[in-house]
Amino acid sequence: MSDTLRGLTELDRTIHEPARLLIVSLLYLSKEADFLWLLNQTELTKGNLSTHLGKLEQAGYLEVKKQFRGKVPWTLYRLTDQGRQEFERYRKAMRAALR
Amino acid sequence: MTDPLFDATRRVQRAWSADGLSELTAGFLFLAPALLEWSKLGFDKQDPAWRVLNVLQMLVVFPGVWIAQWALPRLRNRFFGSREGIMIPRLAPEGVAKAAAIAIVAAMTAAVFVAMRSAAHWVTLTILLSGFGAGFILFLIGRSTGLTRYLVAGPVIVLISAAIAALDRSFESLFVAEFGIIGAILTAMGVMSLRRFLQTPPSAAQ
Repeated sequence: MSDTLRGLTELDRTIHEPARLLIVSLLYLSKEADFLWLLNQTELTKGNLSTHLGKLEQAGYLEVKKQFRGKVPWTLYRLTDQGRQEFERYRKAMRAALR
Repeated sequence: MTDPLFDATRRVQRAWSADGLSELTAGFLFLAPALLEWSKLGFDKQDPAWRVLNVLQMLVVFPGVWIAQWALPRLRNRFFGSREGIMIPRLAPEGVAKAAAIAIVAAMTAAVFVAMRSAAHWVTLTILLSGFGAGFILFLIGRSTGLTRYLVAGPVIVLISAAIAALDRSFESLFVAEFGIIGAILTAMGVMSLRRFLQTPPSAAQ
């Protein structure tokens, strides 16, 4: 087995899951985004999106900022530097394997 | 499997273009200099009013682009944030953005300079170059977002610019015509997109 293919077995599974891959890709392109925007773009259910965001936060890939807009709670998400680096590494590994 | 960023970029750009605010802003950035140039035609170059209009024109074009870049996400979030959610786009790192801005200004200056030096019809060439540039950028946006209106507007602007460049008029008149028409096309696209956006019920996610 070539090194690049072997690299696939070492892919970051936190990012590799399709829904999380979409979330990370969307956040990679933005400085920050709120829950509603992510909900609209990913078309996941609220519960599902919450779970995936929680996993990304646990892995240290997401920074969560909780605020209030008037009396309404408002949650903003942004990728941490570590999250960005891991996503770039993931893309590099995938591209190398599929080349 | 394609690069995940390809699909994500397309989603972000489509979401970004849905409300038409980007086109309305771009339309303003073309229409305002055209209207100011048209107003300048009524004054002599020595007239203080001409100078004021000239300074205004430069203020609209140069800081206007940067102000629009800063203000657009904030306006969008203020008006439509509670409906579609909020996203602040990540701009290119400051060094890259500066280098790109310098490269664009240098390329445009060089193009105008070459047109003026190398051809008797520099007016024609300058009008053609600016029209081709605007049309090409719109076409590229259309390709990356898959939005038909950009794919159509790009070639239409190139054709209109070619037709305007063929006219035997002063540079100022041709500039007014070209920038006025490009601005009008972008504004019309923005108004139509905004109308459609407001008529569409908010996303089911709400």
